[in-house]
Amino acid sequence: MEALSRVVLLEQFPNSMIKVFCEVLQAEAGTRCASLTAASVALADAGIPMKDMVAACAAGKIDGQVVLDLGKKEDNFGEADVPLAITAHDEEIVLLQMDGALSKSEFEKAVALAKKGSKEVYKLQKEALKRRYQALKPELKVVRKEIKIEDGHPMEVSK
Amino acid sequence: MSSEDIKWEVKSDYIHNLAAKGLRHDGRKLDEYREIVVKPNYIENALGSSLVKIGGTQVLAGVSMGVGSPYPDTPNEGALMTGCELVPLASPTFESGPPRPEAIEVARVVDRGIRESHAIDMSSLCIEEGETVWLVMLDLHVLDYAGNLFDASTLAATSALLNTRMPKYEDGKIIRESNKKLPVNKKPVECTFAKIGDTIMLDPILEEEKTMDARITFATLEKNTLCAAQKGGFGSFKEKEVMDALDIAFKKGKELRKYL
Repeated sequence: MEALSRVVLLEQFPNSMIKVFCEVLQAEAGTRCASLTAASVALADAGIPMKDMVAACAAGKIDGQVVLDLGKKEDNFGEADVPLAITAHDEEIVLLQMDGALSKSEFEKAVALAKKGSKEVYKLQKEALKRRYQALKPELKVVRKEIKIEDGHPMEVSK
Repeated sequence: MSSEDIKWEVKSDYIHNLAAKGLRHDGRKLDEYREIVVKPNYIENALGSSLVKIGGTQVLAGVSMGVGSPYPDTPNEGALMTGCELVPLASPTFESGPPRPEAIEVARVVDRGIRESHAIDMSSLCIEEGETVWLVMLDLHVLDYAGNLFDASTLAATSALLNTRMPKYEDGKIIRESNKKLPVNKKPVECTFAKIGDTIMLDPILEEEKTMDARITFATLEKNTLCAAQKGGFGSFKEKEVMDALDIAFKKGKELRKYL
């Protein structure tokens, strides 16, 4: 919630509330990041004005290796988990958590990696939204009406 | 808008303007703690306890122990349970009754710092594998709230755990003993930073907490190990800001550990 408030233009909605529901259908690690990524796309799809998109991805450490996007077993038996969410364009960190054990350089590596992952996620978000509006295009044609003004009287001509 | 709200708005403006110049209401540097007092063994009857003051904030941590069944995924390990109570005497905004989200957040952040550091040797708290284990109950009582509950609570918790006397379990009974200690082999401490505008400051006071755009808390251990981090608030951080704050957290963590 705190991560999304940074990007939604809440000032355009005085005295109102935007509710976002995330249903985790199957938990297999990374639910926080997946929920946030989905919520961001859902808000955009709903036409809620936003400054930027939020994209999330986690990094972690298993067997001394800093890796991207831990699976369930890796999360349970790994040494650290670092979920991260950034705003897609100005790369500001809006969600950052970490648990486990990391040195400074490992943490730096994990954050950089999660950031890279988030940018990949953002590409997919953008594509998904584009696809959605591509699919809507034929419908839009039907709805579009041309308005001609003849002798001062507007006339609607369906295309 | 009540007069109280207007008062906060004016204060908030003032804190914001100060922060933009790199200054603070109480004249501290941006990376400076308020005065810290730690009183271990504060409640003699408790198995472990500690009173911590960071400036005007006061937290009393108490440890009690019981016997119960282990979690299914850790059949040979004891368990830690952390609770936090924000009692009305600590602040006019606190109410009695079941814990509200603020209290739950304090308990969770403190719990994570201690749990993820593996400070308590949980495997030595197993009595009978899969059947009975020791449960460590850590209670945090916020007595006075003047900002930065996370750092004060974690310091109190670690200090209380370090002086906890471990009881004995015989024939289904818990017997108090004074010579055995709870096996705690690490000293996790937390450092919290508030971001106001573009300024990041350590150990925010109440006014700074109300004004801040975002905050970040790091739990650190000896040898510059990070064991937990948590960002909060509506604002955001740049990557460099996070890393700079972490450097300060490592440095200040060493200072905090001297009180333990």
